[in-house]
Amino acid sequence: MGNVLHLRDDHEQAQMLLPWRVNGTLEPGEAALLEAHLADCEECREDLSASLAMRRLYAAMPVEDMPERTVRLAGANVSPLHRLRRRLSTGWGRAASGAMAAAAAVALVVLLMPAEPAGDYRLLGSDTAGQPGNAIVLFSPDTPERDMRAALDGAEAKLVDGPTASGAYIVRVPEAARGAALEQLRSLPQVVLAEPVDAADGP
Amino acid sequence: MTQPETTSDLQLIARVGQRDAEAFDELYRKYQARLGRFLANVVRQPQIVEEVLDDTLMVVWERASDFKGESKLSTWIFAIAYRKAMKALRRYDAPLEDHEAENRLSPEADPEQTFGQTRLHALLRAAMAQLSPDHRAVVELTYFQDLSYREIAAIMECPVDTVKTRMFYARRQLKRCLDGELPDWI
Repeated sequence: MGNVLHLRDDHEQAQMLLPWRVNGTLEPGEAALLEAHLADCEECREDLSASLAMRRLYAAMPVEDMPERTVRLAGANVSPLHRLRRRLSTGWGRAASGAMAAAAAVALVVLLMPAEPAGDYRLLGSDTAGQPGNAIVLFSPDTPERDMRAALDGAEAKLVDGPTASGAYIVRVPEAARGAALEQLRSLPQVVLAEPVDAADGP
Repeated sequence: MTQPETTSDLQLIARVGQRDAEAFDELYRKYQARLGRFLANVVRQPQIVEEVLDDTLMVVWERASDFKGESKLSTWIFAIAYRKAMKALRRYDAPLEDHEAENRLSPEADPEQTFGQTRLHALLRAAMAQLSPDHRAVVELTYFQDLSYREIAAIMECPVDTVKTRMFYARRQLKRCLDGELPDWI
């Protein structure tokens, strides 16, 4: 914290507190001390006026960097949770950087190498791919790899892709038993969510 | 400017902790605009803002049962957003300060920006761009979100004196960039 100023006197302390006098969040004792100082200090009174003006100007400043979709969704009749779940299933492809792709590759190897040959798995979007993933699973962040594998094995889920940007995995479970497989996964304490993903659910 | 926190916030997060999707939707709609503005002003890159906003709200969904009410719900949520934002900026290796912003602001370039509030906002935006994300966060949390310096310190996980110092320097920098213009607003 090398840039912390050490307050030497009431004036410096007053200068530091002015922004919160402006937004009205000072404790009563602090506010009283500040008012007493303001009564005697023209410089602080001028700074207070400037701070009030600055806050008014700042609060009225339009936000330019708000993502368009966020603005559009703010009043839309779309379930936010549904949208977030869909984003989990597609975010990896959109957000992938080299580092993230490498991390995902490592995660795939770590997760799968001990139990299954790599050939049983594929990446979404691969030209050589067979069937796509049909479910998404998100584990608690502290879930050990062996527990993830056991959970997926127990539901006959094959890993297809992941982790996504939010740490979820795309899996394929037997289509005819998808509901039961997802219910089984949801019943496990280490599973945060297990949801169906269909091609029609794409972005 | 900000909505007061009520007991309904505590009831809402408790329901979210019990995996109530409707409660989450309500919480999402309540906080999305505030969080979006905070992140937009701190991060300043729409594609990262959207990712961080979604990640933040997903953590709220996943970890709602961890919220014990030791702070205000808004403090807890903003702290998650701030940590996610800083992590994303590091991951994308984004420039922390835009030193070219002042040079790009040319009053002659856009006649509509040469008068009144629009011009002042352009000046203020350029001045904000020259601050670090940490300084921008303190300005936003103080001047728009109306949080106390103690709440801001909790969000940014730093001492209260650091918050005060950051705001002092930010205010001085903004005032310098708006020199001669701000009195018209007083």
